[in-house]
Amino acid sequence: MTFKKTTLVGFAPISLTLVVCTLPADVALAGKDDAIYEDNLTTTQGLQWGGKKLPFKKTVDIRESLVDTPLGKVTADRHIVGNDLDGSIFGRSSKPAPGRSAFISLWGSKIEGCFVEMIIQHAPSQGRADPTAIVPTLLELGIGGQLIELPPQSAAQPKIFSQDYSYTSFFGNKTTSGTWYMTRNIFVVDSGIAKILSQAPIKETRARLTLSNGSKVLIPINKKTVSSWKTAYSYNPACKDPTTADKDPNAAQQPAPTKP
Amino acid sequence: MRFNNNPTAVLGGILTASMVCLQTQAVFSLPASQIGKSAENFTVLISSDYPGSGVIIAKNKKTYTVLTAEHVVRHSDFEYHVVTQDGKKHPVKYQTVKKLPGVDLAVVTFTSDRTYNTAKLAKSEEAGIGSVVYTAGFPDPGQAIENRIFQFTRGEVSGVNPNAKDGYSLIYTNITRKGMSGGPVLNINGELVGIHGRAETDVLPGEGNNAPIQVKAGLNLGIPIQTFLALAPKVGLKLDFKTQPTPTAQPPTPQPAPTAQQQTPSVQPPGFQPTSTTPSGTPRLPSRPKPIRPSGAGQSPVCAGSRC
Repeated sequence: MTFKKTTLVGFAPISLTLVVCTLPADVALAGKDDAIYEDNLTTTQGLQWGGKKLPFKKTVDIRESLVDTPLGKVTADRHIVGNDLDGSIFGRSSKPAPGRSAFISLWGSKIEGCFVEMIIQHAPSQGRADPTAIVPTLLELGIGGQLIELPPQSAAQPKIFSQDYSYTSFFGNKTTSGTWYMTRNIFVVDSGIAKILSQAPIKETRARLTLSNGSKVLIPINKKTVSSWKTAYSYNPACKDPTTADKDPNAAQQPAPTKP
Repeated sequence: MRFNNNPTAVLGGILTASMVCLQTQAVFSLPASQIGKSAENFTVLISSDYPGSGVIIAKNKKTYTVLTAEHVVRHSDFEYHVVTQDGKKHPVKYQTVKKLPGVDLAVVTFTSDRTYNTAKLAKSEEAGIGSVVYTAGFPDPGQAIENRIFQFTRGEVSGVNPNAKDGYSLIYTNITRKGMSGGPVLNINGELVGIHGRAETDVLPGEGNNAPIQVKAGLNLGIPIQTFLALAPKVGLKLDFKTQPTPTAQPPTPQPAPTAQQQTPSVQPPGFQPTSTTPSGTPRLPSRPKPIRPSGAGQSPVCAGSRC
């Protein structure tokens, strides 16, 4: 399988205001590897390179960060491409390096509904890049012969983040400095899509991201992530906020959990 | 294998010594519960990325022959297993899959030391309009039935269409569901009168920019077993009958391609596109897949974190 990597390099310089990535304090959920605090899933202020400590390839509970109340379920996927000599060989792809890109996705359901969140992190090969060109604007999936097309939840321009970094080659003889960028978007998942995802054939699945500059990138979704969709979307398969559903006479009458 | 007192036929060649019972007339009807129990023994799940059903129709020593719909075993790059009623998964060697020309039928084989029942084959014309028929198979899980289990449904033959595409001339009212393709259509004697594989659908316009939605119309279609018997020799399934049946069903003749106005949406679930050919012999090109889009846009943003 060949993935289009070249779409992420060579952006024309455009002036823009960048929000410097400030990472939230990482409060661990004591003694729990099957749950994660909701605040630790918040990406509106940026996300560590590679999405460290996200629940990759497994489904965990989302819990309210103060009172531990269950709020939903989530699974994460990560695909890193680019300058991977030391990344793939020595397992250092969890750090930014010139020419390296990370595609992180969060899949799941909460009390309020269902979601897919796509995060792109990109460290240009050299110099600076135009991160406004790499905002994910459309997510397509091929599942069981069906083409699924997920538009963004909001038409508003998502925030863009940047973070300076320094990179020392594995052999320690060269250190370079650079800036990596992060963009994100959240895509619509309704009950029909959640059902399709829940019943997806358990195998590596391909996703196609359309970026704001029109280019398209193919990324694989790991087989274990695909198998986790079933549980991730089982929390709220109706993908509706019960407070909204109460107002809908056609809504399912099954009681849904409420947020504390 | 027991043959009761009915005339029998032997599938030779590839199926050398495989035994197939051909019922020449319906003497009495069996209770539906008995037919269902019997069907559960010879109906199999064909597992793959797109699972379907099948019917064990013959046995030759340790080799069993399963008749199914061609679209169930269409993809040579998939891994297929025949899952028998005891839950055993038997791998299918794809090179042994035989697809019958011009119809949506295929034969697969598997080997096992275990003993499994085989279906009795009937003359399809015995299932005339108004006749009670049963369908069986392993439909896809749904919202209420969350696992794949054996299903057996009752209905009546509602029509016979001799000019049907892909051999689907038998029309009936049974409830069926995706995943039952390749499963048996049985008469009131529990004999195999057809292979289920298709459903009539209506197309409802999609809301807004959404793609049109296919909705099952209620009628379902099967391929008469006599069509299989008539075509089997063409793919090397040499049929040597001890008692020659009098097949009246002819292999389906190619139909002219429908005009745009006549064209009704196909009946297969997504991914199961017909491989039939046009009258000129050129393969019919598949259509570009229509994307499925969510309809829930517009509500408050939902994301994994506490702020979106």
